[in-house]
Formats: sequence, C-alpha cells, structure tokens
Amino acid sequence: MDMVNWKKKRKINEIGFLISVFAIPVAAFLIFWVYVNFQSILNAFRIEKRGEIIWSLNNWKNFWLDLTEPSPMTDMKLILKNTLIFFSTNMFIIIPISLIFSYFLFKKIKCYKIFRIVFFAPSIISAAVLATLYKFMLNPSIGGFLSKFLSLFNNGEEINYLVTDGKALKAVVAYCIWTGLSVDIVLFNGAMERVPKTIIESAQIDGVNSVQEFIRILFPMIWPTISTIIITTTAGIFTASGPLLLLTGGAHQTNTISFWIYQQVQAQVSPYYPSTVGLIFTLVGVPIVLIVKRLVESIYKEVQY
Amino acid sequence: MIRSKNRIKRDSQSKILFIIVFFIFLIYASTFVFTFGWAVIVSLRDRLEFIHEPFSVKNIYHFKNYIDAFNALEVGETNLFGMLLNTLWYATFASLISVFSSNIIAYTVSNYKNAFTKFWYALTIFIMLIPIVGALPVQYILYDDLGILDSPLYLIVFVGGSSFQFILLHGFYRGISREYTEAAMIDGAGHWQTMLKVVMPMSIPMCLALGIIAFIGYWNDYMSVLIFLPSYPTLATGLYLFQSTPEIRSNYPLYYAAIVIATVPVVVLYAAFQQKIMLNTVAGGIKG
Repeated sequence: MDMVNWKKKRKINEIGFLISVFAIPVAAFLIFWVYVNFQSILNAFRIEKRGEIIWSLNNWKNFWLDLTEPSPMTDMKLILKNTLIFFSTNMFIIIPISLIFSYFLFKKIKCYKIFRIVFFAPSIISAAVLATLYKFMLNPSIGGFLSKFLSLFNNGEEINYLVTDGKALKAVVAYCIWTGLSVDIVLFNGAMERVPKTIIESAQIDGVNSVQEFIRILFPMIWPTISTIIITTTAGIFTASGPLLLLTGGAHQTNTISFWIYQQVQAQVSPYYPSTVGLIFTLVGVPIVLIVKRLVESIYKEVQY
Repeated sequence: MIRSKNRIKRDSQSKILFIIVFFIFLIYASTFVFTFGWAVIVSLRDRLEFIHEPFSVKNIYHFKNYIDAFNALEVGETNLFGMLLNTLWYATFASLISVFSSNIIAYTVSNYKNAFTKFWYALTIFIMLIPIVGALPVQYILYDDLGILDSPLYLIVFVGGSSFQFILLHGFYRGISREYTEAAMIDGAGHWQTMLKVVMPMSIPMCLALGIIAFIGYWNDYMSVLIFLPSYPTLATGLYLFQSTPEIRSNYPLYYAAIVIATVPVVVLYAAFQQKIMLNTVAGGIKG
C-alpha cells in the first residue's frame, strides 16, 4: 500500500517537474513558432484595401505575374535565380572544396595546425567586418588591392565590381566561397579525426593511394556528417544568400528571396505579399528537403564504428 | 617486394600532390592574414596620408586613431563605447539564456522517456528540417505587439533555446549513465535538485563551448539587431551604419580602427578556448 502511494507521489512529482520545465519552452514555441507561421499562412490570403484587411488571392496572382512577366516592382525571376545560384555555390562548390581541404588537413599536411586555425577565422570574425574589408578592397577610389589586381584581366581598367551590373553577383559569390569553407572544414575535419586509426592503417598496408583512401574509406566513414550538412544545406535552398546588406544592398541584380523579404520588413511595407512569397517557397522547399533526406540516407546505410 | 615498390611510387605521387595543395593552402590562408594585416596597418595611419597614398606603409604610429574612434564614431546617440556595451549585454544574455534553456530541455528529454519528450525531440528535428522562408514580416509585427521590439526585453525570444545546442547536449546526456540520476533520487533528492546539483554540473565544459560559440555568433550578428533592436546598435551593426556617415569618407583609418576593435575580443576569446570548443562540439549525424 505504502509502495503504491510512494510510486503515485513520485509520478505526480515527476509530472509537476516536467510541467515546470516545459512551461516556458512550450509557450515560447507556441508564440514564436506556431503563431508566427500560422499568421504567415493567413497573411498569404490577405490584402489591404482602403485601410481594411480583406481575404483575397491577389498575392498569389501577383506572385505569378512577378515570376512570369517583366515586373517594374519585383523581378521575382531574377531573385529566384540568384537564390539558386547561392544555394548551388553552397552545395556544389563549398561542400566539395571543404571536403578536399579537410582531407589534407587530416593527412597532416605541412603546417596543418596553423592552417586549421587560420581557415577557421571567417567563422569567428563578423561578416560585418569581413564583408566591409572585402568591399573596400574592391573599391578603386580608396586603394582597393583587389580591384587593382582584377584590372589586369580587364585591359588595365579599374572598375568597382560591386556596383557593376553583371559583375556584382560574381563578386558576392566569390566572397561566399572565400569565407564559406570555414564551418564545413571544421565539421568534416572533426568527423575525419573520429575515424578509427586502425581502419586507415590497415588500408595503407593494403597499398591504397590517397585518392582511393579518400573515396573508398574516409568518404563512407564520415558519410553521417556529410549527409547532415547536405540536408541542412538543402533546407536552406530558398534562404540562401550572401551578405547583401553589407556588399550591394541587393542592388545591381544581386537580390535574393530572403534579402528581398528582409528589405520589405525594413521598409515597413505591408506584410502580406512578402509572407505569401515566403509561404510559396516554403511549400516548394518541403518536398525537396524530404526527397534529398531520403536519398542521402539511403547511401551507405550500414556505416557504424 | 611488389608491395613496397607500389608504396614508393605512391609516395612520390602523393608528395607532388601535397606540395601543390600546400601552396594552395598557403595562398588561401594568406588572403585572410593579408586582409587583416592591411586593416591593422590602415587603422594606424594618418587620414590624409591614406587618401594621398593608400598603399604606403610608412608612418603607421597613429595609435590615437583608436581613442578617436571611441569618441568620434557615433550613430544617433550611441558612440563606439556604447556599442561595445550593447554588444556585451546582447551577446552575454542571449547566449546565457539560450544555452541554459537548451540544457534544461536536453536533460529532461534524454532522462524522462515518455510520449511528450519523444514528441519534443521529433519536433526539434522537424523544425530544423522545415525550410521556413518568410517568417520575418509576422515576427516583426508580433514583437511590436508584445512590446519587445527595440527593447532589451527582446532577449525573451531566446528562451526556447536552439536546436543545434539541444541536439548536441541531448547527445551528451544520452552518453551519461542514468545511475547518477537514479542514485540521487534514491538518496531523496528532488527532480530539480538532481538536475541542477547532480547531473548538470557535468555538462559545464560542453555548455561553455556552446556558450562561446553562441556568444561569438551574437557578437557578430548584425541583421537581427539592425531590424529588432534599432536603438541599441552593436559593434557589428555600427560597422554597417558608419558606412553611410559622412565622417567615414574623410577618415577611413578611424573606421579600420573600429573594425579591429570589433574583431579582437572574439578572436582572443576563441583562441583561449579553441581546444575546448573543438573537443566538445564535433557534430555527428542527425537521427530521426
């Protein structure tokens, strides 16, 4: 009888504890996540007409027009294209280069300890600092080294890439690659360090070369880390962007979806159309993430060590 | 015999490859060293000399630029010193609140197995994977309605913790034997006591690592501060806002001094704890 009571009391205590722990996180989740996203969905069906908010499908129509026809307001086709360029840079340039760089750090290339620290620098230094320095280096009027260097390929003419249509986007993408390797290198290098040394040593005795070692042994062994990064990168497909606020302000054909939304909020225009654009790209993004997740998780299923 | 021949061949091939990659690494690393070295040099130059001879490295003893930067650089009512203070409170409290919440939640989810905690774990993974694009417009209105927009109360948005911290701490607690919890409970400790006094102290090294990563992130954050805390510019937002002030155009060395001031604290912080951070945050895969 006592035992039953004791157990009962313990259970009640436990429930009380769980409630007190989760009360704040649950409330925060309901307000800052559920409410926010629910309102975003409703906003997609609202417009403001003569100071009154009414239900409408106009946002969706406008989105279609912005996407398919030359629009004076928002060139949706361009900002979608730019977003996908930034995403592809992350996925097909930054991830592979980081993997290769990590491999050589892992193989203890000369001075690897110093390189590891320097390569990590972009993760601890603010984009506000790095992007500003980059911007100054590209500015011929204040002695930019980079613009001087690039003029060699431009018949000696010094131009400011960041304020030139057609060149600005390239300059922002180059910045993203320059600073973007950092985090991935840390994660890949950490994963490689955890691969048991015995596996690599036995492969070396079997006489594999560096390329084989990388592709046949290390790659499958660190696949859980690679797949996680691929999935999170895919989850950012429509939020991919560069530090546009600092480099171009979205001008000179560099704007992206997420920065365009940021601009709309900063300009305090009506929230309905930006919410619609966000919702549409979220809806397109979900199946893409799920498919990619399933694909990457079906490769090298049974790696365990 | 054959094997050793192969080996020699492999070594010479690899050697060339490693030399090539070494030079690529050297060039890549020097771009960062050079960019920063350049910023430090310019920050110590005279403003007029810089305009006339941007590439000169003569006469770089204007340490006074650093004092001037603190006095002369301002946006609205806030000067550089005020921005330093804003950065400190924002980064400190945001990282403390976020790590503490993530820690409590991670401990509870991994120690109390029931339908709700399982659901919470799945929910966290789900939120990480859902690629939400356009929450910002509603967030802005909501924060305004709640009265936390442009106020230190904005820090309340961090009480939910972060998914990244949760996942890592959850992995940490899963690796800890439940005997600690059970022994403490049998000795008559309550749930809170067991959590705060027995198990959580073990997570301090990891929390420190996660806290420093978060601190550096908030220190460097400029986009959310700019939009949600416009009256409280931090160093990172200051660097952006200065660009549109006329004083900068005639005094770039001062601006570079501000850049160095905004960078040195986080670099020192990271360097001091580098080993600890690396040890405690090597991420694996997400399961679920």
